[in-house]
Amino acid sequence: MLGKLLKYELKATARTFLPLYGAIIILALVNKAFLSFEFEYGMLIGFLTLFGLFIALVVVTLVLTVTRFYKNLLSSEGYLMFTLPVNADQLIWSKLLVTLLWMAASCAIGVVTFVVLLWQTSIPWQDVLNAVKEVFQAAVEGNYMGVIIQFMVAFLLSALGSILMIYASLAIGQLPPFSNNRVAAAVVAFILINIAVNILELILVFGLGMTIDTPAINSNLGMRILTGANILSFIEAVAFYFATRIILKKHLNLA
Amino acid sequence: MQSIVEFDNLTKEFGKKKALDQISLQIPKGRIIGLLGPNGSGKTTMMKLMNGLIQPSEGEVRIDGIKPGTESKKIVSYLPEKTYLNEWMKVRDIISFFGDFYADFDHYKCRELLKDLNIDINDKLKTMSKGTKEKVQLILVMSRKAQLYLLDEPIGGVDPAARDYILKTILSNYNEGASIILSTHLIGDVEKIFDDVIFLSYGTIALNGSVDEIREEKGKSIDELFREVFKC
Repeated sequence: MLGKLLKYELKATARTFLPLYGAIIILALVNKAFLSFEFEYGMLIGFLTLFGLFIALVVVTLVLTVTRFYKNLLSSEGYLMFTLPVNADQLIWSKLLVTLLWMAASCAIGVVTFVVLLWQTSIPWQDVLNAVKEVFQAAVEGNYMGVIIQFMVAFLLSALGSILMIYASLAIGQLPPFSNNRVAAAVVAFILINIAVNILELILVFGLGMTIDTPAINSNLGMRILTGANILSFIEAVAFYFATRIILKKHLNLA
Repeated sequence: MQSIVEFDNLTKEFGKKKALDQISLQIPKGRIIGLLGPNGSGKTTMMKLMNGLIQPSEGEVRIDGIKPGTESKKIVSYLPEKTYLNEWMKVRDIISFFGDFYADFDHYKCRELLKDLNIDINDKLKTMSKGTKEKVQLILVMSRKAQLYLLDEPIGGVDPAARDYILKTILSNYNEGASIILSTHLIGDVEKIFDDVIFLSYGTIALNGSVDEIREEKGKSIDELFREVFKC
């Protein structure tokens, strides 16, 4: 059943993302041509447009995260989705995974654009990459694989946490006391949760930070702090997930 | 299990308001039941409890012996009062959707019924009139070979000819041995199809019995009885 939900969620969102990706790739190629022919006027417009498209991509991802959850689960379509033989977990995960997929795809498109634009220019790529690697290794002194992994995990947890915080806010906004002000309540919930989480993180950081000097990032303590931060992000994401889940299971309040 | 639905001392409160108060009843299999009552009497609440959209405050409801959940949703086919389908979808996409999620969905019957109404499956819902949209939703719901059909005001917003069509479709397409619970306040048109009726008044059961027995005992039609019981 989760597979089927994923399929429909992908279908519903692909029609927004794929054309945008297409436009970006075309524009990247166009700009590449401009670059080769040193058509400065074209380059100016072209790069500005490309930049604009990337901004649009970020905005669209955010908007779609909110609207897909709200429209498909909490508005009249909810009468369809919540009477399917699926459970709340499957409904949440189908949307979560598809959003993450598009985020990953967007990053990939970013990398592709970068490569396209800088392909076969007079930059000595091998030397650049080696230099970057040396600088990185010097800064991190050894356990650089561990640091890379920590940062990747942090990135993923941050994305998960943000999406789930949006879902939790929307779920809270549809609770019975707010029946007539669902959107406003969701926005307020989001702001309050944000503030609460930031305060919590600040307390933890200052509380612990008071007792130690800033360590090197690769040292034992540095790694432990990175791990600690990741654990905190994980706990936040889990908390948002379970809040969303319990509200959808026990306190669904469709209009 | 002789009953398809059992309500066991069920109470549902919304804040301070009791929508349903200590409801206990059994719905037998293979019957067509009219759930009748004025607006706000708790009919939609009862339906939502049966399909798991809301949870009881006290007591229990059981569908074929189990609490509403993933398993019960496989055998319950629900038609809410409103349009609940994505309006940008084509009819053929919605048919695929239903077929994908419901093992008991009859593609063939669905297409036949739509063809009878000259509905093009390549049309988007958005392009249809309200009455046609409602018929499409009804056809989708009745094309499932469910054990329990919950129809919430299926004839509410449509013209008399459409009402006849809807009732005919319901009667000729439901799964043998299944039960239908149909809520309405347009009783005159519908009472001829009911085996049993339940009168719901301010969250309690005012009357529950077979239509034939009631007509004999009281000597009046259900419609007349309703007006009497629920006189303002």
